[in-house]
Amino acid sequence: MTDMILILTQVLRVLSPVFIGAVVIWCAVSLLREKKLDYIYATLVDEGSGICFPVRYLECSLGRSASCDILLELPTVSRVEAVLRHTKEGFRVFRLGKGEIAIGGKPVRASGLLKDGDTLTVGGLSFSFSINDRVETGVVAKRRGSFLMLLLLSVYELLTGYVAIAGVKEELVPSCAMAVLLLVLSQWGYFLYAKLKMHQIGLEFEIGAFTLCGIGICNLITAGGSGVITQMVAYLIGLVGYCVVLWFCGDTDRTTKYRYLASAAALVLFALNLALGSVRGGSKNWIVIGSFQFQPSELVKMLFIFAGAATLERLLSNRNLLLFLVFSTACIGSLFLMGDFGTAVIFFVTFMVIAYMRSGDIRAIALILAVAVLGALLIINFKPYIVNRFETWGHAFDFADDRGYQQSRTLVAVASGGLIGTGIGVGRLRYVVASTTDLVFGMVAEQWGMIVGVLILSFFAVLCCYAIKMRKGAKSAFYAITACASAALLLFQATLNTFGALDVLPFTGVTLPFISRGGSSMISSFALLAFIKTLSPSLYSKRRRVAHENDL
Amino acid sequence: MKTISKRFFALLAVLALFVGCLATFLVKFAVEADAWVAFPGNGHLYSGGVLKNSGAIFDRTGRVLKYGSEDGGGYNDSEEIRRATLHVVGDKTGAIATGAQTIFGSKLSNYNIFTGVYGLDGSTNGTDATDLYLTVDAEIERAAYKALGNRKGAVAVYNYKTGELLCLVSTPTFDPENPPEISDDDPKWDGVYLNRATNGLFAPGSIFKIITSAAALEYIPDIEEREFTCTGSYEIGPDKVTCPNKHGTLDFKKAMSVSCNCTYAQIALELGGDKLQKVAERAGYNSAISYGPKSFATSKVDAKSASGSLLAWAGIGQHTDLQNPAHMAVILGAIANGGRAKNPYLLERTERGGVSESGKSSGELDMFSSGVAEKLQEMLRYNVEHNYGSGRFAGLTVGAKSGTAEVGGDKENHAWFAGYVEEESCPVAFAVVVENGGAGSSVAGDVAGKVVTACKKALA
Repeated sequence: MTDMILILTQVLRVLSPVFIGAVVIWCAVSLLREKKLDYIYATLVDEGSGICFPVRYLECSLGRSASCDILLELPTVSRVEAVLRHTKEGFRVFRLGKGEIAIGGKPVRASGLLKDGDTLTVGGLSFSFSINDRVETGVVAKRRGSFLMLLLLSVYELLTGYVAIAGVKEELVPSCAMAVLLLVLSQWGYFLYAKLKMHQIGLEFEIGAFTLCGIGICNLITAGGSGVITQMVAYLIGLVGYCVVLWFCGDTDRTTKYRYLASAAALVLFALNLALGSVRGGSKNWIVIGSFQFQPSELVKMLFIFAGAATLERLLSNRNLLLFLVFSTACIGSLFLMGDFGTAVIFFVTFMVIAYMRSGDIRAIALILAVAVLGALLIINFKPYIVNRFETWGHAFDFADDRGYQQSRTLVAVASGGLIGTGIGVGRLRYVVASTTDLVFGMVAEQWGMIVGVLILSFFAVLCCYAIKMRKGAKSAFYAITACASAALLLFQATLNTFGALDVLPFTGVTLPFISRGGSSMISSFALLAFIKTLSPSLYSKRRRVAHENDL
Repeated sequence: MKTISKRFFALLAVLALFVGCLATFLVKFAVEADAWVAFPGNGHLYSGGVLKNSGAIFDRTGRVLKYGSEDGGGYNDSEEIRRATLHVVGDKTGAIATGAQTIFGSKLSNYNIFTGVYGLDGSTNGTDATDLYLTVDAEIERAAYKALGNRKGAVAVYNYKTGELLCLVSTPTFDPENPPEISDDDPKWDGVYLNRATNGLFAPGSIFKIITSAAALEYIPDIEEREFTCTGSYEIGPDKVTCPNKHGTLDFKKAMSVSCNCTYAQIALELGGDKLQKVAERAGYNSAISYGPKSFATSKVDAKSASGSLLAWAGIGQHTDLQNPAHMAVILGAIANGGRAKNPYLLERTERGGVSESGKSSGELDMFSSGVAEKLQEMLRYNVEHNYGSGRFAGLTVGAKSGTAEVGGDKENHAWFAGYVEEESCPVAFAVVVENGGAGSSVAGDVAGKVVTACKKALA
């Protein structure tokens, strides 16, 4: 029996880069081939001249400025006169400029509903509005492969799970085995739900996340096998949460309504954390209730992004960043007080992305960055603990016995694994503190090899590339901001975690999304992934079933 | 939508950070992973700081220095050889970080960047253990160890024709088969785990005059015809440089042979800090000279920012000057070899299952121009003929320089003696330092004589 395990371990060393490479490359290629549907949702025809203005986005700005989506170059029109946005009830016009807008003769104060056939009067001109009813016949990239890839992934998860469980203490074998089976079954369950109920075309996001989670769970098993069930439960909650977020984001009005609630919830969570928090590993970033512990800051990430986003008409009518700035300072300040500097930096980077998305004002962003860096330098001067971190940075081996212990052991582990890894279950980084959280990249690169390590990281990079590619596919500025901020947060967090452990960046205590042990981290990562997925045109499309019933 | 969608390019900043970090790391990984793997804390290869599954370690003639690794293995039968080679081979606990069984960790395992430390059969070194053949000679090591006696110091011997490090002895030392109780603050065992030959740094004193001479030969065109006067004391502002005797009038060659501080202080000031620094750095100061996976401790000179009396002191081997013994041997080797030193190396070859792999590194260090090297050879030989006496060097032609380095406080001076042998069959350069030993030529010169005699016998 053990001979088979030994042989399988060696075989998997060579096959892992191939399996994981196939899945990740398929995700990347498939996602990056996706085209934004060049669909015209409606048209505005100028009754005077007959010129046709296509409504190409679900949220359009209308005005004299060159940056407007519907450009009306008339002196009678304001720079940004209005925003036309698709809501559940249909297209709604939001008045922003000083000029007069009327629908069917009736003047519009703040907003008005535009129905098919209505006449829209702007800047003295009358436009006839007609909604495009035709079935999508645009070219949609054929998205095949989800079934095959999921099958491949399931086989891989079962094989690696088997090998990993072989090294686990007898009493933990049942729970680990159950976890692996649950992992595979839940993935197929989601597959059926997505394909049959939601009629989704491509499952690259989900399969990518499944791959990472699978490696994470298997890695946790190689670390001894305890806590695997908790991690699985968190994964299942995350998956459900993913579906909930996707559903929730289906309605722009619903999402914008809850913005203030989200901000309040975020602040309350941080306040609770500061008041009741317990210290774990140097930072007070945990709340413990009985035997259940979670990190509020992980849940706040989603709320923070939510609170920072805004629809186009809100963005254009109220350019004031002040409120958001105050809110962000409160959040980041709380994190500093808790001692969780890594998460504070992550929040800061996310804040910068959101602020830029909202204002487009590079100078203001640069100013804020300068002030923040100055502030950080001041704080660093007064906190010896942080000064230590910076001293050690880049010199892990010089401090190999104390402050550089974790980083040096990670480098040693990663080097020992080479490109194809030492083999699953053969790793030694597991014995170092925080190996399954802060140093988890090291554990994976040690056992699975550097090739697999790089493939895992590239998934996060692919998400960012996807966001850039599909930027025009956002249903509203609100989703553009949430998607962009989520992609930035996930990639930045992955970068900070991985390269901090590898001593390329200062070492901080942040997790690697989907892979690190940590329920809150798992759940929040899925939520953020959902935000990015909202950019996909295959989601929420009413006509998808008709157009793609032959594809699976 | 257009305005907002443009702003997605903010993600490029995060992507750039990611790609930058990844590229940086992958380069480091490609270049340094084999060094990381050899870290004594690597549980894949080491147990308690000592390599698991390692083979035997031999000297250049095939004498066994250490064998096996079951329960730490065993060492050479002779206690003297065990003590002499302790720092080169390593002890059973891995406390000597520069021991061969520690620094050549990646060679003793199956490590390669593709499969890491485990071969595809799942073990760290296949079915055959890897044997290491070092360049040191056990008999030369023994002689050096005996000559140092119960004093602290180091002896480095280097073959300037091939680059082989023939001897790296460091005292205090102990018998690895019967290690004593060593307490941290016992002065008797101060730095016992340090290989003073490769990793020690000491004030050089007068042996640094070799470098100052090289600078003078390079930059002062008429230095060989110049006449200097030594009154026993040379004033520079409020400070002064003194000589133990009044040397009277002397030429450059004589000044080197009697080691006249006053003359060399003048020369240093005439050269200026920049030129002295330049010559020193060409000769390897302030840079790492590697002998395999590790490098010698970096010898230091900071003449550039010194002036006045500080520059004068720097020129005669005091001020902030620090010298590594092995580096000094390589400098003498460069002089002996027309200005170019063959890259020093410690690992001759590895052998596993009948397959041998050379550890030699080709290439040279260009330390002096050939004209300067030739003149320095003349001056160093003159020293031996007219000052130190050639009697102690077993009839060989030797060029050398002694040094007595002041250490400050009420401690005794470091005694240095460095030189080279001009002989086809024995092309060695050596450096000896006896910590707080006293006068260079008598104390360290005596050790050097015994070492050279042993070299002649070993290489005959």
